[in-house]
Amino acid sequence: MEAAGVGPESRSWSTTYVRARLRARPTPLVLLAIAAAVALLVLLPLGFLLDQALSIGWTQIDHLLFRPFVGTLLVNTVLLVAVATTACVVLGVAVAWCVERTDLPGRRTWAVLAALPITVPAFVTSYSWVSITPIVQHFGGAALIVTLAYYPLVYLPVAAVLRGLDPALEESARSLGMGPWRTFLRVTLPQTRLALLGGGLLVAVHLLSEFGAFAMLRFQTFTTAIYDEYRLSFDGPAASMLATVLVLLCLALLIGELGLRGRARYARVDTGSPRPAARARLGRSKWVVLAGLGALVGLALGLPLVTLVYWVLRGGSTSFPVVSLLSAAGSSLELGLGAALLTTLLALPVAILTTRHPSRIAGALERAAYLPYALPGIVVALSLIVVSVHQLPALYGTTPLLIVAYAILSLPLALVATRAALAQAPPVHEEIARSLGCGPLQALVRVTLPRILPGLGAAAALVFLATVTELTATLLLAPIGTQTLATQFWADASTRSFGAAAPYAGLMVAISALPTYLLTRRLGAVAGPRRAR
Amino acid sequence: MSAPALSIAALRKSFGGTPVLTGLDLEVANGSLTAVLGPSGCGKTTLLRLIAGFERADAGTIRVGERVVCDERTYVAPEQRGVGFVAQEGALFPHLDVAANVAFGLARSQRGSGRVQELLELVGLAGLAKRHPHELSGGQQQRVALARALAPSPRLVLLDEPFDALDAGLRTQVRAEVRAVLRESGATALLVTHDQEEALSLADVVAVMRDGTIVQAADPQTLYRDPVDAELAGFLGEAVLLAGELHAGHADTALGRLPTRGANGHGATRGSVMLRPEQILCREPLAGAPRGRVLATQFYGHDATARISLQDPACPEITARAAGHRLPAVGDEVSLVVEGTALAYPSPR
Repeated sequence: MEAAGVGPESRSWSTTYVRARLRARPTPLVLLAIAAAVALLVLLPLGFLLDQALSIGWTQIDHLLFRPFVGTLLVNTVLLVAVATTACVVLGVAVAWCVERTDLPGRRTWAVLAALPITVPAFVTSYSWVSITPIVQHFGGAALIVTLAYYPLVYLPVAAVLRGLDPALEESARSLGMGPWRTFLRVTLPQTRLALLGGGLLVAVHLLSEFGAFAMLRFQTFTTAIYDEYRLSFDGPAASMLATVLVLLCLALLIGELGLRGRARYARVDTGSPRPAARARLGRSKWVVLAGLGALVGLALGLPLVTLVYWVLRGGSTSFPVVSLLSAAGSSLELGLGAALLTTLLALPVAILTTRHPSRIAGALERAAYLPYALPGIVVALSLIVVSVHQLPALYGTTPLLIVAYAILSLPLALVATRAALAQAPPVHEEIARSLGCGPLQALVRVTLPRILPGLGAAAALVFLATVTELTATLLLAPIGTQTLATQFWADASTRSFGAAAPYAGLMVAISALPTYLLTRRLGAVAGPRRAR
Repeated sequence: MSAPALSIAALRKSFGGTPVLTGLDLEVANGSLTAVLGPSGCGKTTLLRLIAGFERADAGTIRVGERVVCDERTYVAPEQRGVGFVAQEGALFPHLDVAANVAFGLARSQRGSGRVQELLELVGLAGLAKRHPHELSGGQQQRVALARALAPSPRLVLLDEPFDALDAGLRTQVRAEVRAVLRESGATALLVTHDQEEALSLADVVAVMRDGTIVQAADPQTLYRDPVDAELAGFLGEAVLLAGELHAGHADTALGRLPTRGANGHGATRGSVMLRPEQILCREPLAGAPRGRVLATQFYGHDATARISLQDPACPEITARAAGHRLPAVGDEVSLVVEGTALAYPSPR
C-alpha cells in the first residue's frame, strides 16, 4: 500500500531557490497551530503510555522487564522479523525481476496476480492455513505464512523501479565485459536499493505490529503478549511496559534503515525510461519460473480464497448469518468512511504546511505525523485507552475514540498521498487567486482543492482500506456491542468456528477490493511506463 | 496631479542571508507601461512578488496609489492590494474554462454583466470562451491570463517575464498585442524582463536593475543615449568605449577630438567616452581622419558590423556599424568618421 509514495515528483517545482522563496512567505499561524495539534494528537497518547510504564518505579520495571518471559518474546519476535523479512526481500526481488525483466509468458497477468495477496489480510491467510492443518502453528509455519502475506510490499516498489530503470546502465555494464549475473548484482540490484530497503522496512514494521496472524498461529510475540496482558489486567503497567519495548524495537528498525540507506539517494530512479529495457530470455527455464510463480500465487492467494469459499459453502448448509453479516458490514463501512474523512482532513493542513511553508518547525511536525508508520496498532490502541481512562473517561469505549485511533494509525498513508498531490499543484495558482481578491482559504477551496481532489481521493481510499481490514485496535477499542467484519470474523475464528467466520472474511476482502482496484488503476497510471507521450 | 500608481522607497529583501534587494526605489506613473530590466537572478521577480504581496519585505515602503501596502508596521494581504499578476507561463487554472478563468476575480454579481465578454473581445479571444487552457496556444494563454488580471480593474498589473515561455516567432506578435491591450484598457503596468530589446521597444519607461537596486530609470531613448555608466551602456546595446582626455565640451581620443555631452569638468581630466557603433562610419581613406584596418565583419542583412583595429596601440579595436550594402571587406583600410556627440565618463578619482 506504500506504493502511493512511489508517485513521481518530477513535475514538482522544488528547486532550491523556490524553496528559499517559499520559506520567506509569512506562515499563517492558524495553519501552524492546526498542524501542531495534529502532531500532538499523535504524540500525546504515546507520552501518556510511556509515563504510565515508567511511573511504577525502577524495582517494578526491573521485575517486569527482566524475566525469562520477556527474553522469549524478544527472541521470538526478532528472529521471526529477521527470517521473514529476508524471505520477503528475496522473494519480492525474484518475482519483480521475473515479471519485469524477462520474457515470461503472460507477464501482465502475473504482475497483477503477484500483487494481489496484499488484499488478503494476514490474519485471514493464517486462518485459512490453520483451518486446514494445525501443523503450521510453530515458528516455521508462522514465518512461511507471513512471508506469503507480506512479500508484495517488497515486490511492488522494486518492480516499479525495475520498470523505470534506464537500460543504458545495464548495457554499459555488459559492454564493459560483465556477464548477466554480475550485471544484475553489481548494477541492477544497487539501483533498486532504496525500494528494497523501503519495502523491507515496511515488512519488518508490519511484522512487529502483526497481531491477528500470530495469535491465530499460536506464536507468541510482543503483540500477542501485550494483548494477553491487557485482557488479564485491563490498563495495567505490564502491558504498557511491553508496549514500550515494542516501540523501542520499532525505533531501532527505523534508525537501522536510515543507516543502511546511507547516501543511496542516487538510486532515486523515477523518471521513467525513454525506451524499454531488453528482457532476459528464459529459454527452457521458463517452465521452472512458471511453476514457481504458480506455486507462489497458489499458496499466497489461491489457498486463502479457496478455503474461504469452501468454508462459506459448508457453513451455508447450517444457517447463513445474514443479519449479523449486514450489521457487521455496516459498522465496517461506517468506521471506514469516518476514518477516511477524518484522516484526510487531518493530513491536509500538515501537507499544506510542509509543501507551501517549509521550515524547521514544519519539518518536525511532519516527522511526528509520520511516526505512526512505525507504531503497531496495539500500541496506539493501548495508549488511547490509557489517555481516555485517566484523562477523558467520557470518551472511553466510544466510536469517536476508535475513529481517532484509525486516524492516527493511517495518518502517514494519507499524508504521503496528499503531499504528493500538493507537490504537483504549483503554488503560483494560489498566488494568482490571491492577487484576484481571494483570501487564503478561498484560494484553497477554489483553486487548489479541485487540483488535488484525485490525490485526496487516493488518500481516503488508502485509509478506508487500512481501516476495514484493521483488527487489533478495533478489538481493543470498539464500543461494546459494535462488531465489525474483522472483529466478528475474529470472534468466530479464534474459537475455531471456521465455517461461521468465513462469510465475514469473504465480505471484508470483497469490500476492500474496490478501493484497491481504484488505487492500482490510479497508481498504474502514475507509476506505469510513460512512453506513450 | 494624482499620486503615482506605484511608489517604492528603500525596499530591502534577503533570502537566507543573501541580499536580493538592497534599498530599491521606483516610481510608476499612472497609465504608463514600465519595464524593469535586469539580468537573470538580479531580483526582478522578487521585486514583483513583494509588490503583489506574495512575500514580505525586510524593510522599505511600497505604496499602491496613495495607500501604503507594505512598510515596517503594515502588511496588506495580496487579495486586498488591487494588484493584478500575470505569471511567466500564464498559470491559467486548468480546471476552469477561459470564461471562468477571466471571471475568477470578479464579484459574483459582476460575472454575468458582460465584463467577461468585454475583456475577451479586448484580447481578441471572444470565440474561445468555452475552451479549456490546454486547448489554447501559448500566446492565447498569455492573453487570457492578461484578461483575467485586468478583469477586476486593478490599480496596477504586474507581468513576470510574460513572453519568456513563447517561441521567438510568436514573441514579437504577442508583445505587440499585449501592449495594445494595455493601452486600450488604460491600465498601469509593470513588466519585468531580461531582454533589453523587449524593454526598449515596449515600455514607456525602462528601469534597469543591478545588484538589487535601480541604477537608472528613463524613457528608452534617453536610457540608450545617456546611460549613467559604462557597464549599463554595454548592457543596453553594443558600446564603444575610448580612453581619452576630457575637456569642457570635447575629448581627445584615439578617434581624434570628439564633441562630448555630460560630465563637463573644469580643465583636463582622464576618463573615457562612449559611442554607439552606429555613430562610427567607415569611409574611403581620407587625409587627416583617423584610420584603421578591418579585422572581421558580421553581416545581418539590413546592416552589418565591422571590427576595426586602429593604428593607435592605446586603443586596439573598435566596432562600427554600417548599412548592409556599404560593408567594407576584411583587410580594407578605412577612415573613421564620428557622427553626433560622445558621452563622457570621467574616471573616478
